[in-house]
Amino acid sequence: MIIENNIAIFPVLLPLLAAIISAAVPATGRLILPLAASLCLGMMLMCVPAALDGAVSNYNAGGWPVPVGIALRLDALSIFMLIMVNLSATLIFIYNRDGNAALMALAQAGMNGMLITRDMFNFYVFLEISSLASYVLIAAGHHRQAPVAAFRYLIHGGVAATFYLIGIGILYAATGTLNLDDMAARLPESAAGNAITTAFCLIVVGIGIKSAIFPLHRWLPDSYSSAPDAVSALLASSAGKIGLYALLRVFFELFGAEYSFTNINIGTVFIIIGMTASIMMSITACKQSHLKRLLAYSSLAQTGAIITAIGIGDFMGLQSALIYMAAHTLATGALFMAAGCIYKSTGSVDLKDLNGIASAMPYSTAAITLAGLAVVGIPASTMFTAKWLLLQAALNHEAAIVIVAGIAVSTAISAVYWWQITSTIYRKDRLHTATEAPASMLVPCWVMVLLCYYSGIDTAPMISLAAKAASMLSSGNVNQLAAL
Amino acid sequence: MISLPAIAVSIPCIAAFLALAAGEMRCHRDLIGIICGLALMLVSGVMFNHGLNNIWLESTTLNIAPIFTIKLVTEPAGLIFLAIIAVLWPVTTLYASGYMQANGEKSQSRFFFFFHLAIGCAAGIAMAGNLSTTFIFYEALTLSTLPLVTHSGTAEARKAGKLYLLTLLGASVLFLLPAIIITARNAGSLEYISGGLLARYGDNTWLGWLLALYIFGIAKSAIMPLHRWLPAAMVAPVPVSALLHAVAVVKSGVFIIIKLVIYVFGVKIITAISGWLILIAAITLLAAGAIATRHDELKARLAYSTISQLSYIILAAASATIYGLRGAILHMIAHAFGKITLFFTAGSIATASGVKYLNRLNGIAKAMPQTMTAFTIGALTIFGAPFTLGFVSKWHLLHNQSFEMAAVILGGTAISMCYLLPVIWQSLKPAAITSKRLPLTMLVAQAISAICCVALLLLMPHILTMLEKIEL
Repeated sequence: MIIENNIAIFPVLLPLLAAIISAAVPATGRLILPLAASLCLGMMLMCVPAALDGAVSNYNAGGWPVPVGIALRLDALSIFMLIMVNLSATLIFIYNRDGNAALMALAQAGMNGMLITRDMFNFYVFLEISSLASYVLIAAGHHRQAPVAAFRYLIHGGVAATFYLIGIGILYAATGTLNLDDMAARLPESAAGNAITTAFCLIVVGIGIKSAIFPLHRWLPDSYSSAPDAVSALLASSAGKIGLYALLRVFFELFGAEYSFTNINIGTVFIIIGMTASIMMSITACKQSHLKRLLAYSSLAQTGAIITAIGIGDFMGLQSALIYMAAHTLATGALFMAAGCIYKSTGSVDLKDLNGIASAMPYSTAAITLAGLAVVGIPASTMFTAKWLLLQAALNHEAAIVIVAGIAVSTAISAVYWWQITSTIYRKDRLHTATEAPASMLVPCWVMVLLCYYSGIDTAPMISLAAKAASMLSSGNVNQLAAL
Repeated sequence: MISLPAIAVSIPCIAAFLALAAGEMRCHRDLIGIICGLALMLVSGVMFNHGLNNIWLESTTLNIAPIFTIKLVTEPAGLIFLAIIAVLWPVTTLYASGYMQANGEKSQSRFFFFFHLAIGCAAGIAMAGNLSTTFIFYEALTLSTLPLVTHSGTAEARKAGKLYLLTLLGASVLFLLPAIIITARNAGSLEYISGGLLARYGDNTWLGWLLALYIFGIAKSAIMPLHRWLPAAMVAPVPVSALLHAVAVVKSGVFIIIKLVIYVFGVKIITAISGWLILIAAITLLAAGAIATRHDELKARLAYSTISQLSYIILAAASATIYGLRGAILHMIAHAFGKITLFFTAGSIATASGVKYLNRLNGIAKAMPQTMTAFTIGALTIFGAPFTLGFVSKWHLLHNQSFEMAAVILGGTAISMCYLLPVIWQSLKPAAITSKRLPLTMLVAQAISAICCVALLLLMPHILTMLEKIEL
């Protein structure tokens, strides 16, 4: 079967085709984009049973053998991430009203590409594809500040890509290969100890800027709040996670857990910055008056918790990090989509203008309320499962008290900003003339909201796939690098 | 097969959505509420009867996360709590229908939606088969009652809502969830086990800290210093204060504490570590009673009285004797019926004559004789006068108790007389007063609850048999 043997290339191929078609015939964009994304999603869901058995699907681009050519690979971790990204992309593409279709498909192709490639330089290429598309998408935002925000993102993104590229350059010089597995095998033999430490730091900081890890997050609130609604939903729900995924690959497969966590001690660093971020960003979110900015800071706080989970670094930690990513994708995607519905009708998402909007737009505001609760992590939401697993993982760690207290405090603060939003939109001071958003926007938004809760109740499929991916990472046999 | 406990929890939830669907068609909506209430009464009666015959029901288990599962079961204390809710829910629905109409409250279908939903959550807490289920319904109860507290939408209501959310949700996230995590980690399970899930740890210092996390995590029990949300929440419409903030919500708090004592810590451990809890409960009991005497507003008086009465239950549970625990559960019943009668009558007085303050009550007894009779019966139940439910619970509370505890309990009773008797005296003072006619539904509802305060004594043998089935 030609599709089965080559399935790894389709997540890139289909969105790329969709991008080309929708660029040539813009009218098809509303149809072809969701179609391509849902095909990707369907294919990935079909791969799940095999992935649970530990099977991987390889694809060598152009038929070149591995160390020379570009290798693409689908394993449990890639499939987990691809399902997340393409699920939210499908819904967001149906929802999309104001983002350029071709560019959004291109961004999706880039993100999917980063998730399947095994080639460090090829990763950079896909990173640039998705970044360039998102710069333009953000610059096209409604807000006057949008081009400035996009420019700011461009500068940050450029620096990040350069850092990453220099890091890869050093590793290439040390090992003479760009293939991840090949590089991982050769790194222990390399004599250039300090150079490799430098490369490690450059790569981590580079990816850290792209995925807005505290304190490298300054570009994010502006970009998310001024981008078109569908674009901020796509960026917030999917793009931020790709960087975290890349970090998992770098820590556990490229350098090996022992090198990353014992020699460099990245775990402690990540727990400290993760907990700081999740508390500080939650507090900052409480002070925001612009709904999308508030959501952006909330998103940063959640990223902090994921960073903490990665910092724990054992099987439980990785599993909870993956579940947390899924929970965050669903909840944040739903929130940004609901905020977009409100913007579509009222032309503003300043909290002061949303006073009492609930009576005019009952469905959008109910979606915000429920998705907000899912971010807080009430039981029966996916976020609760994630937090539960994270707390369980934390108890095995020596910094248990810090992590448990930090998660509890940031959860409590997130309840505060949830209350600020909810109490504002359900106030009765003002009468609004706005009408409810069209069904094509509301339905995807509500599907996302319901998924937040459905996957929090029927957790078994998600947890089993995440467990497979986490065990694959944590038992990785590529950790001989400690000798350095 | 769909099990009865699951049906018991879903009936109020179905009622909620039916109420939403009925919209502003008042008759349909009220009828739905009452029919569903009677259905819940039937189901809980059947389960109670099964319990008396030693048949305990269990629903299927739903796995949410490792260790964290959802399971509904019937057990003696839970059945009694469910029975309280099941009896008082239709009565309150009846009262609320008249009250909301007479006071011209807006968004009534939204009100009934969240009202019924809250009852569903309380039923979930009553039936919870493990700590995780309890936790889920505990949080859901907080969130479903929040729109009821802020129902009027005024600045005061919003402020009360904020305090409500911050205290209840904040405490549960900061203390209750970590406590559950620690329990899960040490015991490897969250099931309720007769004799105590943590019993094998013996007398350990960390168990004392764990108990503290639990007690302060369950802010719904309104133990000092986490009690302020309750008087603030009295800004809600009277039926909410009556059923939720005198029965379902606050009783959920103390009910969970009782379950913790019986099924999680076990009485042996509690006896060893609960010294501080007894002290705090005693202080809350006396202090809240003293504060109640100083409040002129009737609802505030009743709110502080609730805080004080809840502490009887905590005190009795913390004493961890068999009579103490039975007394705690009996006091849940007595206080539920007594206090809801008091709230109903206070709401009736406010609706008919607009009087909300003690010092303006002159002449009410003459103008509204039935209402003040019901109030008096409610008050007598709270005092624990003979021939009321309160007497049975006080008797159990005092049985085999140490001198200090007995002094606190009797002192609390004396204080309760200080804050309730003046209401009756004041209403007897002569004055000309104009009052509207009360809707029939409100009169009937308060009459039923007042009669229950006495008539339920007829069911006492069954309740006592059920209590004997609790294994320590």
